[in-house]
Amino acid sequence: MSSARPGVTARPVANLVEELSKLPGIGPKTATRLAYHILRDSRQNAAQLAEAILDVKDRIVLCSVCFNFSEQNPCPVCSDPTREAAICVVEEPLDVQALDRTGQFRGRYHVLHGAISPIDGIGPGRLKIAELIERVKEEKPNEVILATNLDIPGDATATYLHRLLVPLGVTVSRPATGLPAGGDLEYADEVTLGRALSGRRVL
Amino acid sequence: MTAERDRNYRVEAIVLGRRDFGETDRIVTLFSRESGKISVIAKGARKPTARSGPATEYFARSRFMLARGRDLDVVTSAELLDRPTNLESSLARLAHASHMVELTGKLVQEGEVYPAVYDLLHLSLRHLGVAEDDLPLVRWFEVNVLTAVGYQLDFWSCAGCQRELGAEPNFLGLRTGGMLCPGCRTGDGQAMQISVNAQKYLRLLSREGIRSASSVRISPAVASEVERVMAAYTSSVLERDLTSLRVLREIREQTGSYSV
Ligand SMILES: [Zn+2]
Ligand SMILES: [Zn+2]
Repeated sequence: MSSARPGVTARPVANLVEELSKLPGIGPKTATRLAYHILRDSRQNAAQLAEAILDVKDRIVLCSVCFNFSEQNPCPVCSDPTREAAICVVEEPLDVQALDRTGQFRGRYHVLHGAISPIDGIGPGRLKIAELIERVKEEKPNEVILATNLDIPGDATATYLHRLLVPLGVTVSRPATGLPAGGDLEYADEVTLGRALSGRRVL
Repeated sequence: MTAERDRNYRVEAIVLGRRDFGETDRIVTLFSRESGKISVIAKGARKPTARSGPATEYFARSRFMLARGRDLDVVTSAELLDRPTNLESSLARLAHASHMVELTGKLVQEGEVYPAVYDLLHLSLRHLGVAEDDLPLVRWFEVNVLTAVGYQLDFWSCAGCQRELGAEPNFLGLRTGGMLCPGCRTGDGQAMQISVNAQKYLRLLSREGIRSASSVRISPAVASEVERVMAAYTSSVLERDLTSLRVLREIREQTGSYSV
């Protein structure tokens, strides 16, 4: 049930409400509030918002090495020669931000774009796993840190990756200490994340 | 006072699924013993500090205190009772648990109560990993959950002529929704042939309890035949394919190629 009913609400406003409510975390009520805010706001502000949205679509690409979003390919992290020869594997691009902020890790990242979850229809083939294996074979990093979420999909993905990586002769570790089970990595505070990273254990 | 009490209720439930909602919330689909299938919102469940985190994990069996909300009921407290162990260690086992949970979620109707199905699911999830091979348990669950929701298959007599099925290859009529003898199969445009051994095994699954059914050893050929038969039957009952089974097939291919 959308709160913007045709007839009462002008068609373009109803359209905007509908588009906004497709965004994660935006219900029909919030969408309506945002739509009316945009409606009352200046044309210039609205244009800036529209442009910013199109900009990310036009100018952001996936880095072909780590699969993080970036303006250039390879991304600045992958092309930075001072980064250490270690790869930290995460589920989502947001996790890269959270982990890099801690300053506890100076290597590079690999974004899987999800975690294995059969009930959600996500098998290993849907993720950047084959790409990770190829990358490890090529780059021969000193260590691969499996920083997937500490829930069932995250743990299952880490276990699966561990089995694939060990035969390649690389050290595989997982941050565990201090991170409570069931939560999303991106919501952990920097101190906790930093401690979890520095206290990672070799699998 | 009474109104206050009516707004809150307690259920024991198994988590069937979950998805992110808002900044840190989660919408959790529960299969409860008391109220059947319900979708509830767990506020802040994705924060690492959330106490409801482990209780809203996939496959968890938990005790929930819920408050009636306008759209969705809200989790006010949650306590984990148990969950299947070692799911992370085997992708196939994770897919088996997912399959049982998905099948349950798709077979039950919201607003109806299924205590027998609840107990069946709980028992089966607990038995995962107990036997060396999970497959007999999964097949036992399929046969019995279908029976519990009213899609029972009679593996002894023909749904067409009602005569007892002979010791020969017979058929599962997907249109008929029952077993058919060779004489009656032509009346069903979607009849699957079932070997004598697979029929014996299906009878055993529908007759025996979880312990004896899950300890029977069968050949890989019969195992895959029965898996195909049950997948076809559940898909025809549900009128859609099961996601977890598709991923399970993918996992088998992938792990084969990576020799895990
Ligand atoms: Zn990169
Ligand atoms: Zn017949």
